[in-house]
Amino acid sequence: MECKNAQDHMIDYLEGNLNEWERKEFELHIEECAACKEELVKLKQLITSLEEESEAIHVPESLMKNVRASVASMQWSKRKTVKRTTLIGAAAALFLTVFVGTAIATNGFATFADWWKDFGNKQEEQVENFVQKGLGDKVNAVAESNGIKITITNVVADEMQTLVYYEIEDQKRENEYLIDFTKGLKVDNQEEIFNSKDEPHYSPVSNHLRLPSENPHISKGRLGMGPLSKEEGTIQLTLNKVQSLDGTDGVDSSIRVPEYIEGDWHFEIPVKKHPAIIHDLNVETEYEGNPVIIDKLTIAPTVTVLSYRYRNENEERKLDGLSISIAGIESKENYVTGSTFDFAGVGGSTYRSNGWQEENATFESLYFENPTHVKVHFGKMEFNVTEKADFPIEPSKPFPQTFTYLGTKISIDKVEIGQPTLITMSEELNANRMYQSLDYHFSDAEGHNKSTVINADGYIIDKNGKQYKAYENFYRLHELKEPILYPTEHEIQISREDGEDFIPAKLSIDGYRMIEYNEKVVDIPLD
Amino acid sequence: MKTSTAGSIYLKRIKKQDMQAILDWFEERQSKFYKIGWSYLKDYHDVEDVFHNTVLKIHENIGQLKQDHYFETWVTSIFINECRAIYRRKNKQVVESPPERADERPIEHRLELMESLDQLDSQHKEVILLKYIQGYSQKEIADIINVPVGTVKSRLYRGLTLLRKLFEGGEKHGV
Repeated sequence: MECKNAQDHMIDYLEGNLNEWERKEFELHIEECAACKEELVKLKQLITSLEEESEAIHVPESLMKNVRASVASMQWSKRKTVKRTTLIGAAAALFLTVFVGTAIATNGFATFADWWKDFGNKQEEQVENFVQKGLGDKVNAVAESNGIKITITNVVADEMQTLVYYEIEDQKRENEYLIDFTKGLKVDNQEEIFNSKDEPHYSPVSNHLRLPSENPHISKGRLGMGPLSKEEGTIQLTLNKVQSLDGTDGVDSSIRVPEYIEGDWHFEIPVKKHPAIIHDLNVETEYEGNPVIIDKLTIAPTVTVLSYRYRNENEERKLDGLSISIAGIESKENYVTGSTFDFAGVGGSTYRSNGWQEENATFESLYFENPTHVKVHFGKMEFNVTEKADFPIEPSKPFPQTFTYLGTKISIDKVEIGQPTLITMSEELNANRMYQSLDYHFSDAEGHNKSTVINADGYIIDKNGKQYKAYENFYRLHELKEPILYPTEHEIQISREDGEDFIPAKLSIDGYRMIEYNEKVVDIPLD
Repeated sequence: MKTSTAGSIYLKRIKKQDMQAILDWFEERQSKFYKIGWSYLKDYHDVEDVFHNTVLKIHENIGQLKQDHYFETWVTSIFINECRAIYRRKNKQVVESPPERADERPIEHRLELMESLDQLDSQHKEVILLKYIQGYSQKEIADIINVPVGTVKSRLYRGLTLLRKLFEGGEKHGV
């Protein structure tokens, strides 16, 4: 064995990775070669020292506690909501996500169905718009298998995301199908075509949006992927499964166990990426005594992204889990707001670094206007207040069992022990109510504590004090002025991991979440 | 790394975006991840930020995980990415090769060991952290940072060599 060989084998030798023969050869060389021997010894010393260093690193006690707290406060201000194949999950999911933060553009629709139809029309209009302005491409790649015909109709790509629109037709006219992007979908040339840091074990598709369709046997959807790594390319998409919607209108498929039909569909989707216009701003300002820096405005064909950050520094008001949101961006011709469905999933992120909370807030596109001047409308701030209280629950005694928290009556109306255990809880909403949304959990006698809210309802109260029943009006949020959600009814489902029945012993309230609307407009010229 | 049976109980809940499950899973492995984070960033608050950001990313993106048994690898990738991001923000410069005048002191002076490690560029530092501070195998590291195993091996060797140079200078045989 030569020195060069020996060096190549050193690491493996120290790990015990060499086979019998290699090891013998290596050891022979080491015996003969003083320099390699020295190197091996030094390497081993170094490794040992590193390992000893590692032993000396101890996790501070407070780590997980702090992480849990900061994560909990972030959860309330999540911007993204669209669950994978459903437009609308359980109302509860809505409450914790859609409600808090994102407004949905509507036009005063009487019912959800109307809004849904209009949403579909808007999407189609938008795609048409893209195609006409040369930013989107009609594709028309068709594949059939097992009586199911899938057509890729359009694709739009920019620096932020790649949107692929498709239709699925059941040729037997019996069922409806959708793509479940987590199963059976593969981009064959994923490594080459996407910028994703290429963790190889998960899907390049990050989200899916179902779109309305006129025809009952044709369903439509949109796959959202990351941006292309190059200016143009061809996405080689292979599907081997589609999800059957099986007669439901597909809206609440989170509750059903999905069924899949196998097949073999392959598409070559030519895509061209359209560049975004990036404005580096570095505008320093403040909001309610907290410093804010607006870093950059990215105007991409499919979406507008405002990158900004802030710190909680108002000495008179130390707020936990502070989150500052932007209501919209005003330009000469437009006023764009954050649209959940336009940028399904890829942006709207929050990030912590060095004491600053960083946000990338997404808004509808300003690309066609390409403004030279914008006004950023700050909307609201959300924060937590910690105010702990524990209330014992006695399942053997009659219900309702009531308590008072900060002057408001809370009652546990019903407890049904089982797999899972169901608990119904309600909160009064009257002039005395000084908090907005509770942060609570249930625990049993052994301290197991986990709550999964499956249904929640309440009222949205607007700036004028008018009340709207929440579940029915969530899709009209955008019309309402400064809406604040007050949950009043909760249906909670809890089970224990070990299979035993969950018997609640206590309701623990950690505190509550508040939203405050404070307007502020920042004028920003763009060059 | 395979997810153990216990791990897969968590995984079921995690896949339903159960934040508590994600936090519980992390808590069980906090020492492991803390070691990586601290060695990389040397600042408690930064490591806390990395934990925070990683947990949120997992929650957001769990839908993208295709194969359950790659869960831990995936999480570690994200963790390392977050470390990188914060590191880049804090330190604009990174030293690829050792300074001209290397120190003559022997390896026993460990304070300098971690400082020297700090001076390595990200690529070499990461593999050394993952291997010797944390104890992942070469194959696991290859999956985490998404390079071939051979690359991991050569980076380890070269990284250790550079580390030695930063440390004690002296003659190097054949390099």
